[in-house]
Amino acid sequence: MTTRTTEGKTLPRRKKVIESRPRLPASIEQGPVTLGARYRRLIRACESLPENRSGADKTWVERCQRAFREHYARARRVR
Amino acid sequence: MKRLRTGRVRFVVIGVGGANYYARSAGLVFTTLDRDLFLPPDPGNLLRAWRACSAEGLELSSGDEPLGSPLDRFLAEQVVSRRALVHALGEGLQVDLTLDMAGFEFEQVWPSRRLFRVERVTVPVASLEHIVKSKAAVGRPKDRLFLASHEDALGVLLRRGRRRA
Repeated sequence: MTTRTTEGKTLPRRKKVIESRPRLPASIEQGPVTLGARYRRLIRACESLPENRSGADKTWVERCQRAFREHYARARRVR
Repeated sequence: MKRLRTGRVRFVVIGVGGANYYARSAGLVFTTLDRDLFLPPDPGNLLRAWRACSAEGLELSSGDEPLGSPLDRFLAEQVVSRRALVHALGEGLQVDLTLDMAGFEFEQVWPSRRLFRVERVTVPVASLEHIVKSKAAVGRPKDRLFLASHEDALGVLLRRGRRRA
């Protein structure tokens, strides 16, 4: 993996950031996936947030989703 | 959604649209153009769902074929027996009425649902754990991509939340 700028200088911090990202396979496999312990822990933490209790107002989520739909509905091919 | 609720339709929101309700900020809302509703294999309930969608002007189809009319119990029984997916299409909106959620039966998912409020309407949403586990059970390339991005995003946002607290 190259970590050099266009001038050929190495940037250690940049290298660290890039290498911390998960490496995706060239082709994506298909079939059931086992969820890791970290992911399961994150899901539990997310579900237990006060804003995710029953009764929470999620109107803003609906507005976001509506905005996505409207954005893509307006998309036109330009070339 | 309001029409489904007033029509006494039992359903929970699943899929990416369901996971989005657990987002902490717009940064964790994933783009999706359809809405997946999971319903029990109950012809009467399915019929009420179809009628609610029709009343909202959505066109119903299964496969590439319109569901046609009349929307009656016989048709609903046939769809339930095949666990066929029915799409409800409107202006820029696609709602998938599914009787199938990988890895789960409706009655397993129903007790753990969350009831969120959206513009004075109460929306039943499957638990995030059920939504994610179902995506993991299917494991199509798009599910795998979602799972990878979702885990990453949850990690970042929860870390940020802890820092703020």
